Amino acid sequence: MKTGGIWYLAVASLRRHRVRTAILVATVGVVAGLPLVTDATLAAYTSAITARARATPILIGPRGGETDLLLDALYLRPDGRSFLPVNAVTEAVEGVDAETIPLHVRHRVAGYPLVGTDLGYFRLRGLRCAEGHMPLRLGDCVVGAEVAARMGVGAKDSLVSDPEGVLDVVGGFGTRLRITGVLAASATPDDQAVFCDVKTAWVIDGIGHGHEDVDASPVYGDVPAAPVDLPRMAGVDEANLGRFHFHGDPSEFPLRAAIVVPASASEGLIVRGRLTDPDSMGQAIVPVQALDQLLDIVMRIQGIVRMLTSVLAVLTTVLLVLIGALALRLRRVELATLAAIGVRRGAILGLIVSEWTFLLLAGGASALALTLASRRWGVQLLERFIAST
Amino acid sequence: MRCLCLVPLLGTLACGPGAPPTSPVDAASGVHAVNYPLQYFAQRIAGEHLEVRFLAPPDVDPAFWSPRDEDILALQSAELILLNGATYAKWIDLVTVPLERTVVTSAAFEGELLELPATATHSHGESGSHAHVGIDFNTWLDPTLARQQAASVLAALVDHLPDHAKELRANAAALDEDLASLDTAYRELSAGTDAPLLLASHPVYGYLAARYGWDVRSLLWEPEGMPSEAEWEAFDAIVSQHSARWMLYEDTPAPEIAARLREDFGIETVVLRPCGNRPAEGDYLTEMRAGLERLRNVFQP
Repeated sequence: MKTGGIWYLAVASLRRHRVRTAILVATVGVVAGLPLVTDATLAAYTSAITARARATPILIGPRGGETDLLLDALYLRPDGRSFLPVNAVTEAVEGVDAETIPLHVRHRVAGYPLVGTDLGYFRLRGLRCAEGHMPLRLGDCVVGAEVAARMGVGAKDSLVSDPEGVLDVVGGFGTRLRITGVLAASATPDDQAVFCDVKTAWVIDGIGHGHEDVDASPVYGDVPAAPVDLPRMAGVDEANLGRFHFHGDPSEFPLRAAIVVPASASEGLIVRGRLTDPDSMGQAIVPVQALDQLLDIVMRIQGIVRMLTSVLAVLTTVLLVLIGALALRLRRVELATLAAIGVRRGAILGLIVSEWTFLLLAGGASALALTLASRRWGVQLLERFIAST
Repeated sequence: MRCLCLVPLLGTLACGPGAPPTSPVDAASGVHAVNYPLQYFAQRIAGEHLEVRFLAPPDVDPAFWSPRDEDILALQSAELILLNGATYAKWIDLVTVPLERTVVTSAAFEGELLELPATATHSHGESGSHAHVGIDFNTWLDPTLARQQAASVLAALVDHLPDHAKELRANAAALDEDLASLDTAYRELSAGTDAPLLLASHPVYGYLAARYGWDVRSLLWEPEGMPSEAEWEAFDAIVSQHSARWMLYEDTPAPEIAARLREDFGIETVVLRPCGNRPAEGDYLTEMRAGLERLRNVFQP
């Protein structure tokens, strides 16, 4: 029998037993692909988070867990409990040649984190608008590429911030936000967030608000007879912008964190040194260093996954050999018929080898496809998983 | 509780002293000032090296103007934004501008800023009542404070145009001389008499009064709008306790107002323009000098 005939019969046999073929290809694909996918995804994720951490020289946040601060500030995980006052940051950077970018990560919009910051954040992260422009005033926001795509919103649409909690039925109405732009995709957590000016975040906090004008006294210095209760405005627009204002001491306004970009390493050391006092309200962390601890855990998990997949691969190989042996037994009549009609033993062996070659090649292709897919979407899926937990 | 200005604090947060610009700036976007005096100071210091822009239209008071979206876009690409501080242009707290490029020109004399009396009190639910207490923002009317603001502008421009520092300093010295001469003229003017009693159509002359020992009682009267009878009655009560012979106006009052002041109260009016916006003729300096000349009648012994 010619080689072409053997290949023809092998393919015909695989097509005849489609379900069995599919199961075997999938099994080979998953077993071979799992370690590849794990390695590729973790490598890409490690690279992505390391790059983000490297672009963030120093993080100042409230005293407490470094990992929480890192995840909240770098990966934009809203946290309504931990914050530090602005003056804790200003005191740490006073007289230091450094740019400081505020981060207010407390609220959400349609489940996505709402990040209050300033224009410096977009510059630091290299973010630009694919549509529209950056926030212009209180009540404005820009949305990440994925938020825009998933919600089907764009510039000139509006969103409403999520109420604080399901039990907040008294005053927890959301604040209307005008979308001024959609950020270009960056394959980072910024794609899955909504950004506004930190002052807008403080309006949502209730620190800033707008209300109808009070009738002014004709003589400067006189005070109207009685205080009046004024309903707060639920959103900012061009008409009522001027009626918004802030109360309280701005130095006490809350931030989740602040990114400090020192002009030099020595300036950075000054900032970090000022926050080593255990009595200080804030702590300064170097994200790359804090990340090492996190990555150590990731690497350990990767090691465990590798070990498990190795065991799985051995078991699967044994299973495949067993399946092959059983298949040969089931096909005894078929193979005897081939021998009876004059097919040589070598050709019959070639037929079986060809079938398994096809299966292994198809399984290998599946593993490759899985690996490529993981490179494209794996990091995003992993980030989404981490964000949801 | 007080309504407070956020930008000085956030501006400090955004950028430490001497921090270099962290991104390239568009040279065509220029330097922006929030009022005309600052534009005048900056343009005189910068000369032809850059264009100092001032976005408010000519027919509005820049202190109470609000920028449109296109104005804010222009500010977002500005190289430098010169703020007056002292709660001037409150819109700056309501918009998103590059804080690291803002300069609060009154920061050096923050402790000398004058507070205005409360104008209104209100409350929000259980948070208690609070009054909107204002800061007098007309700092540039006092030549001494104007000199400090000009010095702040010079420092910012030298940082921005280090290659032209020598020329900028020379221009600033000439400006400082002019402002110092205004101060001298005011001192000489005020030295001839005891603290004169004055009325003012608006509370804009606080720094001049404090600097040169004037006793000024301010109203909220517009030059072109005839006050209501209730306002005249309130005015009568004020005049009975504050026997002024002159009333300072930000602009020429309507003839019927001037006539009633003269006939019913024996009060003459004198125009001393704050010059927050670009004057119809001349510039900041000529307007200040013209105001000084008009004041000579008031301060005749």
